[in-house]
Amino acid sequence: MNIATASHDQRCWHYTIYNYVTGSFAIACNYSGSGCKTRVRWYGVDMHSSEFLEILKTRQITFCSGVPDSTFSSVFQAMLDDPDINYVNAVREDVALGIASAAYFKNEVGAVIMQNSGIGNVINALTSFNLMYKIPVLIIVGWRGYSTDAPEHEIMGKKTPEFFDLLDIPYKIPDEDNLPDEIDELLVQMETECIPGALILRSGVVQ
Amino acid sequence: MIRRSDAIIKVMESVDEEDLVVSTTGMISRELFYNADRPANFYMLGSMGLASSLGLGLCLKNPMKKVFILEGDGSSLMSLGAIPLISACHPNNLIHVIFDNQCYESTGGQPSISVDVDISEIARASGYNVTCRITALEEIDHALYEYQNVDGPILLLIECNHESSHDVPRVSHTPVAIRDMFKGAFNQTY
Ligand SMILES: Cc1ncc(C[n+]2csc(CCOP(=O)(O)OP(=O)(O)O)c2C)c(N)n1
Repeated sequence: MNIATASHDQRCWHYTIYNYVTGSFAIACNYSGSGCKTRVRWYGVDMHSSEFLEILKTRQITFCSGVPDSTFSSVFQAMLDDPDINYVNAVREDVALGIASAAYFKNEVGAVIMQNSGIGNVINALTSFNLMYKIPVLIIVGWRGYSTDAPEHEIMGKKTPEFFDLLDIPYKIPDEDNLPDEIDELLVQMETECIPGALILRSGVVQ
Repeated sequence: MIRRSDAIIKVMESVDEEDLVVSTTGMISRELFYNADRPANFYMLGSMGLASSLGLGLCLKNPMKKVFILEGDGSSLMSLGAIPLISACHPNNLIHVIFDNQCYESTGGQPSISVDVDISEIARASGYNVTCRITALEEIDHALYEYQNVDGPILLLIECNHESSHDVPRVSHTPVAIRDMFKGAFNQTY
């Protein structure tokens, strides 16, 4: 990460931060009118799958299972290729949830990675397994149908967060810039309440 | 024909203290609890069909321990895709036991399609290292003894009658107590 440009005057300053790995840049600014809060906003290329895996790995999330989704299609191959990640190529989302949940017994948090079309496949496992036994798992969900998409994604696309609301499962819908902070908040809540949590990723957040 | 609770007792006689057991929804968990309760049993009270997936995950997270999955024909048919997945993951510490009474005994004995389908053949075609169909009680310990040092995944399909076992009590541990006892057993080293 490099600071490429900077400008100051008495009332405000801003820096442009350039990330040579992802090709993205951010503008960090502090205007006197903003109550001395620094605001950072990233622009440009989305988070790369390798950067996303690093975020998971630095949080000790290395046991993953799922069913592929085009929303973040490169993440699956990256998981299969990463020697530090044990990715089980499941056949259904509930199967993935059962597998990933085993991490709990080793004092780890497992992750499931899936498309929102698979939410229907995990509801029984969530209600009568993870929520009932209080076994946390991070569920990474690709949000198809968030904006204009194929017709099969339209209804689930509209209802995706509501399913998690209905089940009292906490979730975050991060941007590429606040993703690490949002995961951290979610993991804290999952740990204190001993329940699963969902990270709902819109198209383009992780590529 | 073998009574299922006798088959469960026989299987549990071959399970060592450190081995992990995951049992499926319904009467199989209740019979296991009634006849051979121990901290290393995970009773899957809900989530019919999920025992095999959890069992596979446990094998992968703890390759040093044997994991027994005890389920019915109904629950294995519900998550049939887990059978080739187990095979593809090559867990050499997994022993999959299916008590095949050809029905959904827990919900009143309605027939299942295992009347017409041999689940052990499905496991064999999927690539399980060993599969066998057992029709007499004494074959159970023979098979488990014979395969003691053979790499898994191993599948034993035990043909059982569908004698009702509705007087067997429910598992009395709370879900969280089951989880915590099992977690202790999972991390116990001998
Ligand atoms: C998803 C789901 N569908 C249906 C049921 C109802 N149910 C509970 S146990 C059971 C039968 C399970 O059959 P099997 O695994 O063969 O075991 P058995 O009852 O013969 O002991 C059924 C249908 C359920 N608990 N969950």
